Amino acid sequence: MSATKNTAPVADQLAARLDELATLWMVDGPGSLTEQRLIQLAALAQKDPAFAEIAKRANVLANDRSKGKMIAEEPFTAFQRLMRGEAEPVVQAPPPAPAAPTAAQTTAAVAVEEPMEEDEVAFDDDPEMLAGFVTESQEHLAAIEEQILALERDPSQLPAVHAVFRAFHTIKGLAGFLGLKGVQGVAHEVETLLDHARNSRVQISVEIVDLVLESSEYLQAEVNRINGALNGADPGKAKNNRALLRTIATVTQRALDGEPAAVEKAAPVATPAPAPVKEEVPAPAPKVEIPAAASVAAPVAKEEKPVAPVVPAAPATAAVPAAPQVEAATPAPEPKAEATAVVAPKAEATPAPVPTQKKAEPESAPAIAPQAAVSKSEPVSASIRIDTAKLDQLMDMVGEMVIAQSILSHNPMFASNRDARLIGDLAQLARITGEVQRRAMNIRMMPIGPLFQKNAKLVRDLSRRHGKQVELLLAGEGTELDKTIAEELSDPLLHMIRNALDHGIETPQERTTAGKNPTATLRLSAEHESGKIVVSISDDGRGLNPDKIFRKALERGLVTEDTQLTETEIFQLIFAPGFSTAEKITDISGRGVGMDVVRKHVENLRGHIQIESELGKGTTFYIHLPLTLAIIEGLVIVVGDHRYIIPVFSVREMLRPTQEMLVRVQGTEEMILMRGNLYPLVRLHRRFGIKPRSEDICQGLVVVCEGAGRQFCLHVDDLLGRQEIVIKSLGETFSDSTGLTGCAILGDGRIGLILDVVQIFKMPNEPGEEAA
Amino acid sequence: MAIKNNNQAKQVADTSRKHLIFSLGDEEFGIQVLNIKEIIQMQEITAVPKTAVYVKGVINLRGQVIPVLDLSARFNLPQRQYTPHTCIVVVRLATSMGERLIGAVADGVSEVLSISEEDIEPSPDFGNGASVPYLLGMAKVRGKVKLLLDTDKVFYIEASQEIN
Repeated sequence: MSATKNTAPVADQLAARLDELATLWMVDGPGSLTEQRLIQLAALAQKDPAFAEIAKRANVLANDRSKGKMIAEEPFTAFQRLMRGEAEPVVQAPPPAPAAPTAAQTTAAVAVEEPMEEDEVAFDDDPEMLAGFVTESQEHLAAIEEQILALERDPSQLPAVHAVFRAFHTIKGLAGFLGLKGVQGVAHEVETLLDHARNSRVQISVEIVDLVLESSEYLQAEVNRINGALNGADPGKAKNNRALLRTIATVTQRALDGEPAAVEKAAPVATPAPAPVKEEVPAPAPKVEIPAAASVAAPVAKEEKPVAPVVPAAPATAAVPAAPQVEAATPAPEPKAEATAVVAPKAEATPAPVPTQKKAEPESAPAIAPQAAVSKSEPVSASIRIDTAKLDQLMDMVGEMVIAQSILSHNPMFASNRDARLIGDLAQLARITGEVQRRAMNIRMMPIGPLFQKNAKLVRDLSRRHGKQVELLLAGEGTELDKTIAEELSDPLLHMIRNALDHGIETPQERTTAGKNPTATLRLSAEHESGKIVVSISDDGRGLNPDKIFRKALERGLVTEDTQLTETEIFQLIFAPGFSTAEKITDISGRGVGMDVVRKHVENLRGHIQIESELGKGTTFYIHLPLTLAIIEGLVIVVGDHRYIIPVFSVREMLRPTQEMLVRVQGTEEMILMRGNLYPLVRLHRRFGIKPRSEDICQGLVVVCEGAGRQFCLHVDDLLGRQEIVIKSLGETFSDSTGLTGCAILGDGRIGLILDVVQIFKMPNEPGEEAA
Repeated sequence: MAIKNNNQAKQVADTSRKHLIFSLGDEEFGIQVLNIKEIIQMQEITAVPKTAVYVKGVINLRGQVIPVLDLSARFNLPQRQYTPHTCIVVVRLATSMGERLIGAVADGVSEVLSISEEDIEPSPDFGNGASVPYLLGMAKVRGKVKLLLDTDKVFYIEASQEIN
């Protein structure tokens, strides 16, 4: 106690900074600024013997660390307690804090799982900041993936290293600010590794690329977890990142030592339970320090709460003022020696370790604010983030404006007007509203590039796992499509790429035998084509075998022996539910669920898939998609007094039938015979139970509809026209009304209901409305 | 400050006492003014197939699509011709999804009445055990009876499956 009193002035002076350092220690993960802390301790120890004990212990641990082990927070916590005047620097923890465990306790604890630092994020506190973190991190993670894959192809690209480094740095800063320690820890370690790389101290190797990707996966998982928590899911616990941290540290060290990239990288690093991880570190007693870290982490984390948010900015501030103390500390002989010992391992790689450290720090850890500003201003197009709900509202109102404008210009008062000026003004208004609509629609558009990039990694992983050599080519990444479509397209695209890699592309041996380049080409491209977007997935693999597909379809009972099908129709069979051509079921595809799900997804987006394939040459899938989901083209039809809209994408053709085309089946069911094909006939008025103008089909029209791979005829009274409509939801009141997908406000301000032809086909007729 | 709060509380109490009186046939109904968004003139209603009889359809309320109910059908009152007085009362409903608008066809809107607690009698018991749904109570004003509606129940639309 006397020691505490004696040191009071010194302690007061240093308390603030040490608190800061302690937080850093907790936050930054062991490793950063260790030297400085030790030196500082040494200085203290010189002034007051009470600190000598801590300093000594810290040095012992630091020595351990220099042998490759991680340093514990234990000495520092003890020190903190001393600062608070709680006790002598003895390892007797106050009751609320769990005692620094003895070796025996420790080993038991470690056997289960190495704990990590707990996040101290409060999900209720700042949902907006967290949401911001999620979006921003996702952008950075996408950038990381893109750049690191580019790096793998050409490791000498320094700008890419810089970009990845910056992305990790920003994520680290954001995570630190929010107290997401798991994310921050990993981001920090990778940042350190990349810092070496960008200063050319480390060569980018496959191992490093893998590691960076693995880390970004960890970060992605964490970001997803947070996102889930924001959306009401149970936030759960951050995944344990100890093993990953250790691997990164090891790889960094090895890379610095110039060892060739060893393959003994811990495999289960990213798995949630890294307990059985083999010790890559030749640590004699590595277990002591880790639980200590954890036991300490809990209480300290709580106490430090108010300080934590400022932490990310701290490295710079803490490092710089600490520097002069290094000189001050030099007279202390024993600790100094220890301190240098810590730096020693790095000396092998870098001629002047301490200066390098100093140079790297300010560069890599400026306060986040400027860094964020830089990364914001860097992209070519400046952007702001808007809530999609706001955008949708704007889009709705723009739609209304367009309709109001059309109502106005069709007003008979204006139509009969001869006033040239009024006509001119109306035309001007029409032009402007049209332009406003076009621009508003464009806001929702985003380039397809990121979607392709997302799959680039998949191609890389899968081709490696299957021993296939695949080169991925991307084209038309700048093609823009509606955000919702882009999001919904992600899954089908993934499925199709998996399929191409699994079934389409042969092994290098097979390819060589077939006289092909052993490296296959997989091409993803996107382009505009007559108001639509066509995304194509093209491989130069073995191609589809129509005979094999037909035989398989026969086995599955999808076709009969005498079904006459064109090649195109046969290819379409692969989209049938339960169809699979793979001889064996693999872990990536081949369960026969993929392709029909793909088709369903694409049809939900009002698109369709077309296949071109040549045996032995390759296969190309074309996904045709609309530019936007908000506006569709619709046929306005009439049944009785009611008007309905049939989306044009589900209409094949329409015709006025003759009596000869009508075929009765079992008295009640009707079919239409058209060009030798029979189509079931559905009378809309019977489905909906409304009164038609005429029961005679020759008085009305027949619309040939298509959906879910099926065609049928829909009998309606008349066709009013074709127009672009803005789709609106009918609201939850009618959420279960079958046969409708929504509604739209028509040109005269009234509402038209949009038909869902697939549902209409499946639903029963209104009772009492059966055919007479 | 306290006085002001009192005033406010009084105002709220006053407002909550105010009821919009509208007619369906010969009967007069009241809905708390607080629940009413607006009253609009009759417009063409787009019928939605396969829905309950009392669901007239949907209308376009300045770009917003809202359902419209026919309360006469709901209360088994005789259908009547639309007149120039026929209008649509747009009511706000608080749901788990937020505020929702729903319209009701009324033969005419007469007045806004402030009805005090003591003038309201509980829903009548007709002795056959069945209490009258949708009713909050009955108000006697100037010798005439107005039926006060429970908007949450009146404007609840059952899923169409249950109808079938």
